[in-house]
Amino acid sequence: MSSSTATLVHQPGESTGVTNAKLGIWLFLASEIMLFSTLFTTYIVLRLGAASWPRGWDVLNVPLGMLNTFVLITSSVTMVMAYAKAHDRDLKGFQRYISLTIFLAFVFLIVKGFEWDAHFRHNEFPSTSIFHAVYFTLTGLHGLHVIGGIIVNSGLLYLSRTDFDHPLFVGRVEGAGLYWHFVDIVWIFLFPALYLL
Amino acid sequence: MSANVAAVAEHSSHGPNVRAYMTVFGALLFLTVVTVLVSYWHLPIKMAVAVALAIATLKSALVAAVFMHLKGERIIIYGLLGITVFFVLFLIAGPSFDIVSVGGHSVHAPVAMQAEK
Repeated sequence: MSSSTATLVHQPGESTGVTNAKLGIWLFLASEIMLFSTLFTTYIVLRLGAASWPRGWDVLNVPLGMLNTFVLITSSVTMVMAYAKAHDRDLKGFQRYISLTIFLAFVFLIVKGFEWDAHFRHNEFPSTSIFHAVYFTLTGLHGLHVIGGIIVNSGLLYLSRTDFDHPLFVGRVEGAGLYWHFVDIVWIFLFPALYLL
Repeated sequence: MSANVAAVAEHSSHGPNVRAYMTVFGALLFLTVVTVLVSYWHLPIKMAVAVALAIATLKSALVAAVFMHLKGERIIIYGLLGITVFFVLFLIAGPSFDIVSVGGHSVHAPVAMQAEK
């Protein structure tokens, strides 16, 4: 695609005022919101209908959950800083912050891996109880989204070597950022719901 | 080329505001600590849920408004999210009415089933 064509593609639509790419990302996020809301509603129904339900404090590692919350929040900041650097045409700055975001995403997964490993060592599996089924399903699906973010952000880091000046590049970073912040928001709700209540 | 890129970036994306990003970063860390500290108080479950969800909603609103640039976004994005929120509330309300109609009776018995095994 020539840069002039790409510029036309990246023009905000006359009727919408936003680019097709951004509208597409938001539509995707709307479907993601419905997906996680469905699971969250399932959690509410199961919990309210259960004869008993363990407190997160008693069965989960709250300090590790809190650490992961700090890690993910920090990664959201590095992601938005990567966008700021791409917007300001600072290649080195962009690569530094997107690399930090990827690194923090790996930290999140490693910490979560330690948590899951501890559960498995205590013979706690999704089939152990309704609570564990909900916990593994929600954190597992969220973890898959973190992996998706790592793949997308790694792709942007790779592309930045050759396509940083491409007219679509800033929009791509913005789209990846929207997705990553959504992943952060999901965890913001999961942490208190699973660990603290 | 670079002028073209800058022009495209300018009208298609929101300009970064690093100071706002750092302010929200601090607020998110603070609110996370508050969430954990509140859970130490062992409030009644309904109160605990209300407080936890209120703080989580505030944190999410900060992320959406500043990091996701929803503050100052186009009307079509607000409309899209409005429709989504409507269906989310509909999704939550339906089962909630069902639970209320059950009147506190257990709709499933995981503990009993576990005990039977």
